[in-house]
Amino acid sequence: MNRSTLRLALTLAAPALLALAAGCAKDDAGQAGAADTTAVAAAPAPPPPGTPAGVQPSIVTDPQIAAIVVAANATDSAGGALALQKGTNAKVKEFAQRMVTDHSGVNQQAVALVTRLGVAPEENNTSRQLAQGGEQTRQRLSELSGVSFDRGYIDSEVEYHQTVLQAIDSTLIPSAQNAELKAMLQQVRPAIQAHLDMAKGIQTELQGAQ
Amino acid sequence: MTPRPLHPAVRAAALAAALAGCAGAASQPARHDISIQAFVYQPAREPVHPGDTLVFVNHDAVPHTATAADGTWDTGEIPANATRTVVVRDKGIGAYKCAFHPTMKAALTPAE
Repeated sequence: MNRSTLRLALTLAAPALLALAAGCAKDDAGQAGAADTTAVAAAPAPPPPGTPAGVQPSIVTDPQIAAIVVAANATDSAGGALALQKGTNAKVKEFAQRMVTDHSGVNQQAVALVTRLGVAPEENNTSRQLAQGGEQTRQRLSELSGVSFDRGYIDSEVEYHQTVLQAIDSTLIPSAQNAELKAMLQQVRPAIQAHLDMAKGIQTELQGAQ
Repeated sequence: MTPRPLHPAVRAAALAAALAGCAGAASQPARHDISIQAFVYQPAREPVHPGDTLVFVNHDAVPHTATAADGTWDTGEIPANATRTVVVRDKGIGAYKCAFHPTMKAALTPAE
């Protein structure tokens, strides 16, 4: 498998968030919003800087955001657990442990918050695609070993965190109606940025080791 | 009744204690509260004297550390919503970072 094919294969979880960030989850949000009368219809937020012309941010409800946050954290924790088993590079394994620890911590915080707020996470296309994409990514990664695994895992982490950041900025934070939920997302953002920076640093080191 | 004069050794000890007390009051170690929130140390630059105490409070949902760049002090892991305390010495006044998230950086500066 060449690297470009591998790169494509390893980012299966990203399209769900990418679609969300690009405004392709409108149907999904609309269906769920109709079923959940407690969800507040969000006024369309102004497109964030950098949003391509003609692309409107999608709107998701608070219960959907809760499910997306849980799915995103669970997916990256599971990827980290796999890398702890199969990774060979010390920095890759250290990063993987950090992903397991941090995303588990963020998920605990998120679950505690939505429980206190009485917001029941509502599965939606994005959360389901995240879970399915993560599983497919892990299956493909599990077929790799050694340096190929290390590079594949880190490549997927870079893309994943880039996409999550984009979704947080363009959709999740603008859509969140509850102030505490919005604040939690704003608190989570620096963690995702730090993880992205860490993954990029390791990616560069692994490329230099070729 | 006339008080008995103090023995010279006792007077010397009392004087030394008084002086030590004055000196202690002048250089009383200070406490500095530094919060960690959203992957940022606040304040990012803190003036300190050697012997001062640093109290780090982690408000994030993930663990952090505060680790001196020169290795002279380290809080170790600070779990979510936990507090760790360290005493800083001469050599430790300078840059520090989170060992878990190296992009988190801050510094102690020499107090005037």
